[in-house]
Amino acid sequence: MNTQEILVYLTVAVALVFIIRKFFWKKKAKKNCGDDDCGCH
Amino acid sequence: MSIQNINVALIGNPNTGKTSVFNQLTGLKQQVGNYPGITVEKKLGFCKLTNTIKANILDLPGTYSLNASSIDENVVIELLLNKNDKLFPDVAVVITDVENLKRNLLLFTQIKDLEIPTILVINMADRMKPKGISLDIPHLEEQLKTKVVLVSTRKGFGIDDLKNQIIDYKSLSTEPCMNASSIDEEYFDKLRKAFPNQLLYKLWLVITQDVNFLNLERNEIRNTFTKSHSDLKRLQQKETIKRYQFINDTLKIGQTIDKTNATDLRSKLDKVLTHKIFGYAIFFGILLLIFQSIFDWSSYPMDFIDATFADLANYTKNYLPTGEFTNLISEGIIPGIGGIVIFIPQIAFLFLFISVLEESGYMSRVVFLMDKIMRRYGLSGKSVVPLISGTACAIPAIMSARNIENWKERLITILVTPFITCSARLPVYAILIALIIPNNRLFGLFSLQGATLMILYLLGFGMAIFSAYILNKVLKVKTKSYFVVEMPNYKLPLFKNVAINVIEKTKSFVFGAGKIILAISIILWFLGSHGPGKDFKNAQQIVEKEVYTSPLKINPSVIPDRVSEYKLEHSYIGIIGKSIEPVIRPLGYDWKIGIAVVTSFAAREVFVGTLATIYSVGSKSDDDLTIKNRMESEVHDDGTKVFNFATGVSLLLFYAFAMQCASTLAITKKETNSWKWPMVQLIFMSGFAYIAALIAYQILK
Repeated sequence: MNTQEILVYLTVAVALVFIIRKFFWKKKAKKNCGDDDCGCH
Repeated sequence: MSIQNINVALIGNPNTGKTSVFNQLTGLKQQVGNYPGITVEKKLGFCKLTNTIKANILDLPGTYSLNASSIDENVVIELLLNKNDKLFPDVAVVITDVENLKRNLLLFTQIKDLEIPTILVINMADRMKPKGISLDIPHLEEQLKTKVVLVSTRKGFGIDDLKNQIIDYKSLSTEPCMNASSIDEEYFDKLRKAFPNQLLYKLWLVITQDVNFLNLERNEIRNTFTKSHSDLKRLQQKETIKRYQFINDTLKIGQTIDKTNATDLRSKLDKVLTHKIFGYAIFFGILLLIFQSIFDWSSYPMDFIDATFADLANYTKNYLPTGEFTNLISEGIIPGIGGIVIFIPQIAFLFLFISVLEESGYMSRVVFLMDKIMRRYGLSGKSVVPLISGTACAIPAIMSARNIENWKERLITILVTPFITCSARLPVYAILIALIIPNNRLFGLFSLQGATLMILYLLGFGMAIFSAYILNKVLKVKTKSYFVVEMPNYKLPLFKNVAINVIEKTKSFVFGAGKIILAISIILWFLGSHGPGKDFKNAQQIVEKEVYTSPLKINPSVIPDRVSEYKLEHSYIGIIGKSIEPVIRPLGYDWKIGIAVVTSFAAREVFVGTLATIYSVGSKSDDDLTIKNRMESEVHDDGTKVFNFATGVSLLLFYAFAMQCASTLAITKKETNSWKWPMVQLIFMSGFAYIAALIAYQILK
């Protein structure tokens, strides 16, 4: 495998990780009421 | 040296310029507009007041009072009642509009009752002179027990004064400016005695509002002191009347308006712009102008960008060392980026017009005008705000539906907003229209392409209204509905605000969608340049054998192009495309378009980038062809054009109706708190899109 091919695989891997993170990674739910959740939701 | 952090909450009625004050205090660039409901969530910024004092500035959604009727209004009350919230304000800054002081002060008197140090900002003070308004500031300060700051974010005065008052917040009086408990002395006395450590007005809000700051506390108060629903409503009305009596008395001396000095252009303009015939005609004319301009004015920078990227791809291919990575750059990355950058001019023009309409105050007239139509279809006049915001992106638009009080109207608005033509559809429409609609003029004046674009926008709007009508009949939710909308004054749009809006929206399109498109372009290029099995590896030999052994005497010069085609067909992406071809063939799409349809499920604008990548991979010719030229020259095996009129219309209709946006589904789930509604959206919209595209193609082919 030459340098150009290694660069291609690296770039594709970065793109794949980005897409997976963007669409399939579950983000932590944000609290709306500060640190001590006020229980209003 | 220790730094003191103080929390400052900006509170006020909708459209009083809270976000403009927020932007000036923090140096941030949150979107502002001259119509209510722009801010639906709290936003946090920071402001260094002195070397030792830093302020956390909180921009809250607009609310008319502390009697919440919608989710965005609840955000304000929840914060003000919850002392444990880390953002609980040390000082509240109530922003009012100098021309609507009477109504705006209702909220101020309620906040004063919560005994939070409060500063009264009278915004848009530059309009006092043209409107003949004069204020007796010492009298207002004395009566309202506060400090009054005159501010004009347009002219840029008063902000330093406001900062000084915030620094000095400890000297502010926390005493209420009136005694609201006199509406029922006996009841409030009992309440005071039962909870001596609690603020009386806070208790009253907990009893009357569906908000909480501690579950147990609310239950305890409610169990002991709840009156009948009608009694509570009656008391709330008495409270409001009492407050307005106090405000009237205060303003009798504190504010004088000399009508003879005021120019009454507003009412004259309102008469025309909200007229039942002229109003709609003007709105229609403005839309026509916008879409004409999007096509006409954008064509020059677009052609330039398109040609530049084609040159760049060609240059990269010829001058970089030969190899896989060079191919990735010239066939994957550059066409992918080009596929998004090319639409910057059109998107910038669209947002330029929308920002000017918002800033001028015209958008509120549109909301008012449309309410009559909207109501017939189960929507509210306030649904116009999400529907118009939907021309940018359905995600913030769906969030802005939070200021619709009625749950059924809000749900219908959320469900139908994705039909509105968003900026992500614009690239798809633009390229397809340019391919299938001739660049002629109607009556020598209107461009046919611009008119087609407008028809597509109207189609999206019409479909949204039609779906709302159906949903209104189908959904069995009984709720009362009322309509309150702010009618702001007409203003000359502020260049800075318009520029911020245009830059921010375009930036978020380019960097938000651009990153996804770039990543997908890279993956697509890889899938299109690699394949399993012998067919892909031995493409050169197979094609050569076919050409040289063919009885038709094929010219060997076609071999490079044939090899590329053959490779693409037997690549991973080719296999995927071929497997879905039976489903999309009746719509007039080949497997290459099929791939673009599948990848653009993530985001519609990926469609053009995908085709640009596929056609770059599939072509070995070194001509610096633009995306449009490549699509135009694409032919079926029988020599007929792939992008003919029937396929073009079928694709336009598919993209007009299909739910091709994963992020919109996610936001619908978040806003409705259920997977049911996004699934309804997906099945209904995409199913309808498939049928519409199928019918169109079968009729036109």
